[in-house]
Amino acid sequence: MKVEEKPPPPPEPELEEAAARIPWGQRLQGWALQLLAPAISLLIAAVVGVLVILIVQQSWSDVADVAGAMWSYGLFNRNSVAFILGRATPLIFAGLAVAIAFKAGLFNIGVEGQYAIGALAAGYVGYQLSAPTVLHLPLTILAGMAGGMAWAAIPALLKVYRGAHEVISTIMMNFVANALLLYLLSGVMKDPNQQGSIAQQQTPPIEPSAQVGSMVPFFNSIGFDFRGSAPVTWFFVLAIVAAVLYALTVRRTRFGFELRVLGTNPRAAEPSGIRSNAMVMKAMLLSGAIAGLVALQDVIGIDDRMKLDYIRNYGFTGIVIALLGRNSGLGIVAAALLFSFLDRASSGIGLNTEVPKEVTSIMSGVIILTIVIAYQLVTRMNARRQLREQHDRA
Amino acid sequence: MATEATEVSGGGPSEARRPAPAIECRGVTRRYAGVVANDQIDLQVAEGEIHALVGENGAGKSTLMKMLYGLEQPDEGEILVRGEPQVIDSPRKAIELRIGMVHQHFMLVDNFTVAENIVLGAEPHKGGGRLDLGEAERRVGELARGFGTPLDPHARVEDIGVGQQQRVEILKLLYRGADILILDEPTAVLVPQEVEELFANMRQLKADGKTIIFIAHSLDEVLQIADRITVLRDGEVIDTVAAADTDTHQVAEMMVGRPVLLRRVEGKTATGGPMLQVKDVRVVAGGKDLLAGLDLDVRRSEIYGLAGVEGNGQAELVEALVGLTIPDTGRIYLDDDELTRADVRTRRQAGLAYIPEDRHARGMVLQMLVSENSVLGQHERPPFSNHGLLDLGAIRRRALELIRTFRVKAPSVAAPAYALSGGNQQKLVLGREFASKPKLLIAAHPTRGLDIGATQFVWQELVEARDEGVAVLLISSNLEEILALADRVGVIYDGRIVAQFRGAEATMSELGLYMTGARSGDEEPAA
Repeated sequence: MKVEEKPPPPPEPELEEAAARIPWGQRLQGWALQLLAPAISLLIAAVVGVLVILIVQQSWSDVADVAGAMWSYGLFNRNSVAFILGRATPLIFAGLAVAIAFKAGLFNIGVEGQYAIGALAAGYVGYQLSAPTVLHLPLTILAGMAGGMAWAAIPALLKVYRGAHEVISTIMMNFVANALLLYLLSGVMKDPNQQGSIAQQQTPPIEPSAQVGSMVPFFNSIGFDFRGSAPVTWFFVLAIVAAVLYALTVRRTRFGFELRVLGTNPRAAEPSGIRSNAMVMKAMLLSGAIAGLVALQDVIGIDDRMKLDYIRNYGFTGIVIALLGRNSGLGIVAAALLFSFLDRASSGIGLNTEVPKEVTSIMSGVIILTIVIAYQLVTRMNARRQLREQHDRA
Repeated sequence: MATEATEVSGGGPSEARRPAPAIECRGVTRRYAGVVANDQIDLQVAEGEIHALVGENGAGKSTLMKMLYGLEQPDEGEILVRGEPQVIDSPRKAIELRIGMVHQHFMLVDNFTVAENIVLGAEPHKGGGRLDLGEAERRVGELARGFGTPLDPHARVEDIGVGQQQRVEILKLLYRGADILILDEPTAVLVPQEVEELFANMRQLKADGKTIIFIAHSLDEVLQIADRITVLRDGEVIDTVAAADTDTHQVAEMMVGRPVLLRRVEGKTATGGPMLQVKDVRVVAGGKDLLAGLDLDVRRSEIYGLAGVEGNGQAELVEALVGLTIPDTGRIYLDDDELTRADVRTRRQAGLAYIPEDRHARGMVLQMLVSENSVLGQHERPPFSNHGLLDLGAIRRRALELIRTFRVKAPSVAAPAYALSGGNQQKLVLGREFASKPKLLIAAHPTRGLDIGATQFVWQELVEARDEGVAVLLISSNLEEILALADRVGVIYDGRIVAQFRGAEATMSELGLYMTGARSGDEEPAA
């Protein structure tokens, strides 16, 4: 055997053509597979929902009532769309915060604490500062992001320098955030004019210059007919912008590329010149900054002050949203809208049927439980298909 | 002990007159996806002997041992244990047959005590499902006493040395009643004194009537302890010889000495000045010098072949050169820039390219796209990214270029890398590193796992890179490859370069002697 001196023959042109892009059929198949898992999960949730209703009420007519209420009230009540969009806003931020950490292989369970601190910081800047809107509003929002970022920085530093696992440290930070929140809201940040129990603790009112406007006038100008108090603000637009930026960052930037390398194969990151520790820091800080936006709609949009009861498990729901949305920008928006719809539909069930409205909680629970399994199933199906194709080619 | 050594190597069925061999393989064959790891293996291990299995990496030793221990099943052939044909389909079955194996990486629970580890899985019980730890410790103490060197049954495994941990592993097997022991490279993790103790233990075991099969790289050690030696090469048994009748030269030749099929490829350009300089680099881990003051230089337009048995510091050297570890002492220069403490990205930007040994794990991200994998490690520089934004068009063009130039068979550049076959994944990584126009190319076992055609192609690429002025550091356990390509050859042994030759002057047998420690570097380095 001797090393031949001839250059390799030119490749067949078809090979190059084929290599250039994936055929449409295959692409569609890929997208269908992406949707398959959530579809399976939703189907199981629906079946379980029906079973629960049958067990509780023992009549098919109740099933029809519930379906009707979910459909008509959930989607077509006067304020439903506004409610769904408004309620989806914090969930989109929370989902994005979890997802960006996921992309780097990090499990940020601390979104809950991070947005609490972010809301606190934004609330403080909102009532303490007085400045024109062009200055005050951006500063307030930045304060929220900075608060979340600061809270995420601690677990990030612990991980990079001491090797502490972020799951543990972010959970711990949630407890600390909670305690800090109680302490400040019942102490130095408490509204001096406010009486009442701890559960109603709140800050002084936020200056109008730091408040975000409602989107209702805009919607009504394009033909909707929402009540003035419908809870949707321009934060919804910000959430969509954030989702788009997230998608572009992950797919189109060097930072996103490195995040994905680190998240999918950490062992390949260092030999490729990716500074893992720096990436972990950046991913966690970014995650915290997005988390800081989660409750801002409540603080400076719908209401005009920071209240204790804005801490509503958005952070944990965010994990589910990110999972359901497969960490994609579009998926997260869709998942947030779905959860928001279920929430709205549950009000419809409560108002219009004999069935307890908690049936929607059961359904979201089932989605949470089945989605991971469904993705695993689809991934395996996909892997088998790939293997077969590879086999066929060989 | 070694009775009729050369006669049994033929592998004929045992005579009724003689005691049946402890282990006998007849025509055992094992294939992996087109690669024959074991080809018609005939092997007899007599009752009560120490039988060494030697061969280069990839010769098929581990596969054979895995089949004996039930971790793999033969595709053809049969395995006889004490004269009875057996299907060893799981380690559990192997243990039933009183076969035990000590893996190279220990399988111990660090924060359990010695006694707990030994009885784990077969614990003595008191009534009501309660553990009888007292009884366990008593039995373990008894076993350990019969075994020479003392071992504290109460000590936690994390607190004892590697040599003692290995003894725990062996005791674990004895506790389960094994009398055929398989030791996979037991000396690799030990310092010389511990090796001596291990050998004492092995002789003790042999005196107690146990049969030992062990895999080793150092021929000196093999000749010291083994009764008989079986040499594997390319999945075939070359010969089984009695240790008393042979020497390191002969075994080394059997291990590496296939007829030289390859013509040397001489470079078109003359070797230039030094590109990579490594001065007195030391890497210490766990009290062991993995690199013991290594000096090395690789010149422009030169392929420097680094030969050596794996585990002699090659991996540590590569990590120190690439920037994955920072050496404890010493200096590294690339083209006059000191890079001793620089990080990977700085080194890559300074002109280093790296083909990792474990290409799937460290050289690519299987879930990411073919196109993305085509620029991994170069993704941060133009034209692939500008001001932090990826240029997807440029990335795709690079992928197409690699696919064309290196004949990578890919369904599409937008397919995930796992859709490529193993060989094509390798070609993609190799191509990517060549395409970065490096000053220094570090190629760790670049043709491992490739078929002959692809191997030829990679060699051609290495030679072309050399002719273009690149300094190439070729690390390989395949001597054929090194002799065919290298302008200079260095032998690494025990963390140091012990000998250096001009490529044209090196011979396999001579390299083999240095690689196995049969000859030391103190005598006379040649070049």
